[in-house]
Amino acid sequence: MPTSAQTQVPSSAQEQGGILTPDNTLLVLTWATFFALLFILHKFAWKPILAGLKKREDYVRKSLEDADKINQQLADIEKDKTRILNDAKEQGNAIIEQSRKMSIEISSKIETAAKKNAEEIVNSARQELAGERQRVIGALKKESVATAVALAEKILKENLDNEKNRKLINDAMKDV
Amino acid sequence: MFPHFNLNEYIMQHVSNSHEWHLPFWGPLPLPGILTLHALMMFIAATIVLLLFLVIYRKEDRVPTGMTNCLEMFVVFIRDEIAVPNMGEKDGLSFTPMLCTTFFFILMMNLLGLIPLFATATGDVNVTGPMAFLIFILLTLGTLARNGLKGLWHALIPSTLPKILIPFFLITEIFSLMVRSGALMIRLFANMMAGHMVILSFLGLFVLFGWVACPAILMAVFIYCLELFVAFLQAYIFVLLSAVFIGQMYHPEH
Repeated sequence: MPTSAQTQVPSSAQEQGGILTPDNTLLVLTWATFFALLFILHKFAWKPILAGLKKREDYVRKSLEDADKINQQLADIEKDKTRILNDAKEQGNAIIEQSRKMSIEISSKIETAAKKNAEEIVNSARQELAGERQRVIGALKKESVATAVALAEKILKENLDNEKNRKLINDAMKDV
Repeated sequence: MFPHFNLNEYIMQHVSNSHEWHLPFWGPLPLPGILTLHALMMFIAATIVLLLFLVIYRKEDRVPTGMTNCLEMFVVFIRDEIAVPNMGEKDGLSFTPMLCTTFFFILMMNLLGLIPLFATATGDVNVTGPMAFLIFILLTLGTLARNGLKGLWHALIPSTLPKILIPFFLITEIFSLMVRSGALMIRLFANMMAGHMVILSFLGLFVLFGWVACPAILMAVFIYCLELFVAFLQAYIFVLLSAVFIGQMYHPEH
């Protein structure tokens, strides 16, 4: 038995016409709407949007190129830095080596000079010592003579001329 | 559930154009003058597109975010993946506004039909027909204006073709042009209408048989999700094929 869904003719569809029925009004309205939309959007939306997109893409492209350039420069700077550091290290090492050599040289010079100085001081001290010794010996001799005279005076209880005694002693000393 | 419910009429009423807008509680709202339901839906779709690009889209943003980013993604996709590869750099860029307008206009009409109370204007041949006819005009008169009569002839007839075959080829190629545009019209119309018919059929089953047909609601929800995808897909296909056809006619050497 057929159901109502199968048998009844859709009345509203009949009133409205089928789904494939041409409708000139809607057809013209579609064109009008589409062209109006196209005109408005082309003027106020697509032009600025597409121009903005192009501008942004160019900016991004340029920024990326700049970033690449900067990276390249950074890499170059890094290379330069490494090279300069290596050079500085080498120079530093050379300076240190030179300084070490110079310091050794200077120290040896100082040592030599000090030795020389010390020898001179020792020699002059020896000379001074020798002179002093001679002076002390002379003084001792004089003191011995005076002591001997005084002893002789005491022993002989005789007052002798000082000049005479001195001469006697000197003569005696020469004989000694 | 409702023994006198007429499923056929129910479906046809929903997919057909009319001078009434059926609103809940208000009953049928008569539309004035030449305005029909599909025309009204078309105007609403056009208004939404205008609002999207003139109000919501922030052109001055240096870094697009949110909705601007989403809309821009479609515009860039149409320009870089549809227009330029199929029509060349120069034609592609000059046709991008037309293709973008077509895409968003069709997409919005497709999506509008998925919102309860609204109807699918693209489920009407009187809407998809004029759109496809515009493409036909671009394919024929557009090629004529751009490349001249010789260019149009060259686009239709290969230069190495034997002369005896030319009349046969000419008829075939003109017919092919019409079929291409006709296919654009039928594809969009049929897809959008069929999806709604399937959804309404499942919902109608529930109305007819009651809770026994409860799984039909799940199926309707599934088809609804599929329709959401189809709405985007059909707008994309319409624009893609338009770009391919125009590209073939404008650059026959490729």
